[in-house]
Amino acid sequence: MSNRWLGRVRLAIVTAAAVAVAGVAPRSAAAQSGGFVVVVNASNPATSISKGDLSKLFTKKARSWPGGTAAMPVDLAAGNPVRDAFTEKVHGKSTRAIGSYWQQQIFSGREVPPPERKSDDEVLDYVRSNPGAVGYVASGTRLGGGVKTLTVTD
Amino acid sequence: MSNSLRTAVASAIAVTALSALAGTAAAQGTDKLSIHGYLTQGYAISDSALIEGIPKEGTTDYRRAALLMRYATSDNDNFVLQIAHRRLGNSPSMQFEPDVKVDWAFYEHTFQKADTRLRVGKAPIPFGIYNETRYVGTQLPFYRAPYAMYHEGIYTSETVDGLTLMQPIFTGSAWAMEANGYAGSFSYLDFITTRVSPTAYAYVGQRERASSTLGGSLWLSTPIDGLRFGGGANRYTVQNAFFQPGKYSFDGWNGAVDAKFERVLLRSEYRRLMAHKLMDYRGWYMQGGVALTQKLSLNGQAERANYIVQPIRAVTAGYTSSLVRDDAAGISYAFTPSLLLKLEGHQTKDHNLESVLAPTAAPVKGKYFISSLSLVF
Repeated sequence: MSNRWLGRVRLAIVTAAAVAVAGVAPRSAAAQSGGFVVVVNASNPATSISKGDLSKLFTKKARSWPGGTAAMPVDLAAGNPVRDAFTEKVHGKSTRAIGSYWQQQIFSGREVPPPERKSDDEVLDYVRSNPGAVGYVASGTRLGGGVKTLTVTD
Repeated sequence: MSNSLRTAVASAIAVTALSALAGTAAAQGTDKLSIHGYLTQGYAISDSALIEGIPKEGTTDYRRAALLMRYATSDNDNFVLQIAHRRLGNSPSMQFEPDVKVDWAFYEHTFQKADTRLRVGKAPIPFGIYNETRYVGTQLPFYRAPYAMYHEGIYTSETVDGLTLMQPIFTGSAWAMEANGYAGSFSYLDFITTRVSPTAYAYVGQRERASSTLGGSLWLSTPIDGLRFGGGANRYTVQNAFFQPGKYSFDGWNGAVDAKFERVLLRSEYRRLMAHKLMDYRGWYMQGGVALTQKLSLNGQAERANYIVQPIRAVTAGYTSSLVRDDAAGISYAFTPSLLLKLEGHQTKDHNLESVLAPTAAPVKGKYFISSLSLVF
């Protein structure tokens, strides 16, 4: 078998492997619209927050609340339409751009993304248990005690 | 089945298996422990000389992989460990490369009031746009970070053993800044072409230790989201390097323009590194990319570097070498943000070759191609 032919075979194998796995990446990147409310622990004195400040907390560019309490953002799981809506409305960027930002942060050893919770109830439990926590859940979710909403301003 | 074909098949299977996980791959760990990783598997072929380990017959022995673990011992304290594996095909520098190595191992404390981060240990050097993520395929328009700026295999270190300090400044402002400083030592691989007979040359290499390292960088954000400017400088000392008895101080500085928007990427960096009475290195690159769709991007790159070597008594006459002259075009397809396929072609006319070549010989023309699949989780 000639070297040139071998080279073509190898290139074809690597490329075919890549194409083959395209089908196993099922998650749609298209964000679906979905309303959300921002929630914090009931002990948090804040009543409102700007989109810019909220974005800084979730990208960990800001690490504490004005009173000095450490901020503990929590995300819904990737692919959740409420998370997609939050990302586009609060960060003003696509989920792809925010994903790239976090790859940069992770692999430069600087920071890791906020922890993820699979459901609104798990987000609420996290916020209820941590005084500095901030999260978001779908509009209309029953909040229960120990949690309150923040008004998000432009 | 030949060894090379067996390697090709094994690599393809590894890529397929790992890529199959991409749809479900997610960072592992708890809220305290996070585990991330990346893999880039390439197939590369050159039309002429050995370039960056790429032979004429092609190679699939071309990859980078790492596992990054971060453990938070408190809100402000983290321990970070990265273990890595890298193959550069037939590059002679591979004889110095272990199969698995500890890339990073550092402790990080954040002084919360000022948001100052202090790292102690073996940590990535905050140098240029790419140094800290130079092997993360999904973050790069091409297989490697531009060689003229960052090198690979030889004359480069991604890390410093010592202290690293990071300080955000004016964080609330549109003109926010980030200042970085580092001090310590690092090692790098020294490779030179030396005359072994009146007509023949050979490559020889050895690891060097750079001590008394001191460096810093400053990044300035702008009101245009995605546009920033950066610069830095560093100094280090090398004692009794290859054929260079004595102590040499190296002084370097660099500048960068970094524009990364939703669909357009424009980047350029310049670097100069000088050692008094020894050498003067000047390199730069320009890089551009456009996302045609959410998944498909076109990228282009030009990089150049010249290297002026002063005469070293009884070893070499002084000379100027066109070390890097590389123009590249590529296409990338993101199946997901975590799985990226790249196809790229490069044209060179320089001395950045690993076939033995006299430093004063005319630059060699060549072409090489790399296809690679990158996965992160």
